[in-house]
Amino acid sequence: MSRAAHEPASERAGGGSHLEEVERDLAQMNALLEAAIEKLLVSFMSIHRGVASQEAMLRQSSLEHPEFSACSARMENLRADIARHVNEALSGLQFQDMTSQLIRRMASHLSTLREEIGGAEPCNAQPRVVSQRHMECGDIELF
Amino acid sequence: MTEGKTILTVDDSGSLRQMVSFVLKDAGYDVIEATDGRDGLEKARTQHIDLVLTDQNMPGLDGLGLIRALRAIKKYKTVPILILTTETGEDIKAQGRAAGANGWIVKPFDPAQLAEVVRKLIA
Repeated sequence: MSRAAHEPASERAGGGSHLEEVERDLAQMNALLEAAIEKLLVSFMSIHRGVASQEAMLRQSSLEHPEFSACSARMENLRADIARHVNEALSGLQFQDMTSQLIRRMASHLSTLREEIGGAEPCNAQPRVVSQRHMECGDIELF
Repeated sequence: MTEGKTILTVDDSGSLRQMVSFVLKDAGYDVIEATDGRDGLEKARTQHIDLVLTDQNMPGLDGLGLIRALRAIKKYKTVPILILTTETGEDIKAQGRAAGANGWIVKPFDPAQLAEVVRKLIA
């Protein structure tokens, strides 16, 4: 017999409402994270476009004014640095996708728990587990 | 040569779709976005696609289902299909290969590596 079955109905209902609150908070947290990452992405892409335009203008200037050619090597280094930072930022920004999957999984477990407490049939559909524990980029395997 | 090549990216996460799209457009490709397997299948049926990049876990039709459906369509028998997912298990990877995927990319992806793999597959 489950532990919930030994508890008075009023306590079970109270526990259920707490779990419902947690589910709601998780859903809100997920929505906030998604909105935040969307804003960050839009800003990030605008910055990237701005930097790319500046680079193109500087390249054009160095072609039109040979006296600037000494700056070319420095510009190439800066371009490589920017490309590396863009790469790293885009890798880091993917955290939301993974945390979102984890939040959905937590919400699913909470829903099952709440239904068990309430005596209803638990939902067996579970989102897949996310095994990543860090933000290092994953492997690529071609078949 | 990226000019004129179109990539279909399928993911239920809006931010991931935006990121993949940003990386591939920056590399010179045209990108079509789809929000899940069904949307991806519909867009693939009606448009010309040179490579498909799909998430695995999506509501409705998942990545494996999408690949099987695409491989059943004559024009998609040999079009490269990559799975981009958080999944790392050998079993699911084997299912992907059996379904007809050409590669498996684990999230978070490295943008430069993604662009390079795509370039290799549709050069």
